[in-house]
Amino acid sequence: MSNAVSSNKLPDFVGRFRQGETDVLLPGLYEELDRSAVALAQMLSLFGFAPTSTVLVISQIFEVAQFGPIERAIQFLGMLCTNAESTRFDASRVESLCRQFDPPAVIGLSLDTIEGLRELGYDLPEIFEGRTVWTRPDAFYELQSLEKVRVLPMAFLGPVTAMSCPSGNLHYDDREWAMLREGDDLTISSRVPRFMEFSGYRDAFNAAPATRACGCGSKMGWLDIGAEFYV
Amino acid sequence: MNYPPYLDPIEGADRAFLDDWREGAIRQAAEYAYRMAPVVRDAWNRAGVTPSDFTSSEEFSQAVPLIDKDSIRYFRDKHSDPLGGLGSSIPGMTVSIGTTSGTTGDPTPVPNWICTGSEQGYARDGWQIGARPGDYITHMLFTFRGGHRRRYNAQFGFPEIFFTMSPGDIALAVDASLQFRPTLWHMCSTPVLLMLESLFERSDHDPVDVFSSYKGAIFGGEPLSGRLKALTKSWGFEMFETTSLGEVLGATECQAHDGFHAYEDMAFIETIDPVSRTPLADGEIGELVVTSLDDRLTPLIRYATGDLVTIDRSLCACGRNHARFKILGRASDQTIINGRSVLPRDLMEILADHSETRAALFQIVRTEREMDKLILRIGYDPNRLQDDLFKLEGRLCATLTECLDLPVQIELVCEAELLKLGPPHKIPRVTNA
Repeated sequence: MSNAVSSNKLPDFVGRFRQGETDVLLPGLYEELDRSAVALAQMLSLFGFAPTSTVLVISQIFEVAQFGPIERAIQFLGMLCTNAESTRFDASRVESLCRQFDPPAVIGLSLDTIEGLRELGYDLPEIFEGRTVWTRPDAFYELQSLEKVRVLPMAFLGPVTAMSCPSGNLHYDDREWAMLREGDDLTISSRVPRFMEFSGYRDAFNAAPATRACGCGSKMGWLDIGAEFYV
Repeated sequence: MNYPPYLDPIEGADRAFLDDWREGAIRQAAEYAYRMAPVVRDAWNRAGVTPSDFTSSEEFSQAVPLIDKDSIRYFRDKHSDPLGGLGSSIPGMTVSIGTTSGTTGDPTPVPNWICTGSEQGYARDGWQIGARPGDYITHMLFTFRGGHRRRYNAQFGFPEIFFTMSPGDIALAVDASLQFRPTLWHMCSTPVLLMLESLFERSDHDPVDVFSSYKGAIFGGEPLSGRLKALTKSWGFEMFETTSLGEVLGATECQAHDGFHAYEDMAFIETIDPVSRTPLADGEIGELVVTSLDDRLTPLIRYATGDLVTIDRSLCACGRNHARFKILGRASDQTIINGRSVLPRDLMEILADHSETRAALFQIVRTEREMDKLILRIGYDPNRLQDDLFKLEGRLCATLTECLDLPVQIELVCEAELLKLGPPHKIPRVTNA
């Protein structure tokens, strides 16, 4: 694996991605996020959320490379974005924003937020009923029992963010990223110039790029996921 | 490149220009708000005021009714309008909905334009502190203000390195400071400085080296205590305090550290008598009232903030004429004990003098606005206990009673419990239970 950083230019931001148990700094350019936002917007449009509706994004400030494209895609679709921190202490904001804005979609729900809501005594079905909720891997099974919530996965594969389509398959921006299954690992490489380019980035994701078309209608690449992918 | 002294030329405007400019800007902002913000229009209609009833800023202050946080919350609840009748969510112009910290209640939604006044103001502050294009900024803020859409600093060539206000990220921020050598830290807070102090006590890092590239840090959340001011000075890490200016803007100290600058091209500030609600002259102690002049999505018109301040519009030592104000406290935080006013800032230095309570994390437990004894919930660091809790309570009680000359009742709790009451840059200083 090699990750090369352009040396004669400044990044716009320095975010982060997770490599195993380690946080790795991820410098990047906003134009890179905007490119991915275009691809994501096409996929999110399949859900038919009403323009002018407000979508709640739950993240942390250093997750700019992961959630920046999602927020931009929401804006491209004529919707508004509002935010809460992905922490226990900010769980009450999630409840408040769901109550005030009735968002059709909640993106980035984590186990920390769920535990924070439980500690505060909130009723999860009441907060999330009628919404499409993209959960992080650690929270995916927490909401499975809720009948009136559409629970979909999202995942972070090194520097790549993957989000579920209406069919439940995890899509990623395959114009930006090439994925390959090599033995037990998934390798990831950037396909077009980026501030920090990746070549054969390897991690033990239990997933492989799918070679058949997804029934959702999205052109984005998608992943076949192994059973133990989610915590 | 030889950079100009100000990011925005209007920072260098003289008093006459600012006064002239304000007259037109107030009229435009008020007419817009009357047309677009129902909570403003309702208040004006009740007072029988229209935009044609004033022709100068002086007449504006006399004629136009005040609004405050309660009137916005009332409108929100009555009309089921999450924007409280204030924000104008305009397709194409509104890009997101930020929210206030929510320290004292439901977070208040604030519609954001592509570049908020707060972003522009803080970029000016960073430039004033000494950051220049090509410099990195340690960005330690929350997503709830504006998500991941803020790009103003990047547009001027300031890459931001993002961190949360958590112990794990403090260590990362120190490492990144050594790697990228940023010139500005935005934002510091009491908990952040305590985490840095704790990290330096348990590691080999030399704080003077860690902060050697920094021109300064924007410090917010609550006032900087004397102990932390001295501590950061010993690190060579200069703090520039900032405060909220009417919910949607910030106001920050300059190099002169002689009050918070309110950029007059963004906001008109005035003071009123807290009881009679009538305008006061600059220099008199009064409640701060803010009118946002160029924010069309959150058109606050004569918004009474609850802060007790004095205003000074004379030339600042930094060379700028933009108004400054000094905060004496929040009217809503005031507790009357045996007829005497007690504000949280009266207690900070006293508690910071004790090793176990050096973080000065405490709450005034106010069951009534007027009480016959001061009831405090004080956080202590269990790792710094010199003797048992009973003795610590006795020492604190004795010092507080001596310094304040008031009867005091104390409840000691582990400071980690108080920090859970966040948001992480501050805790509610006054509670009713």
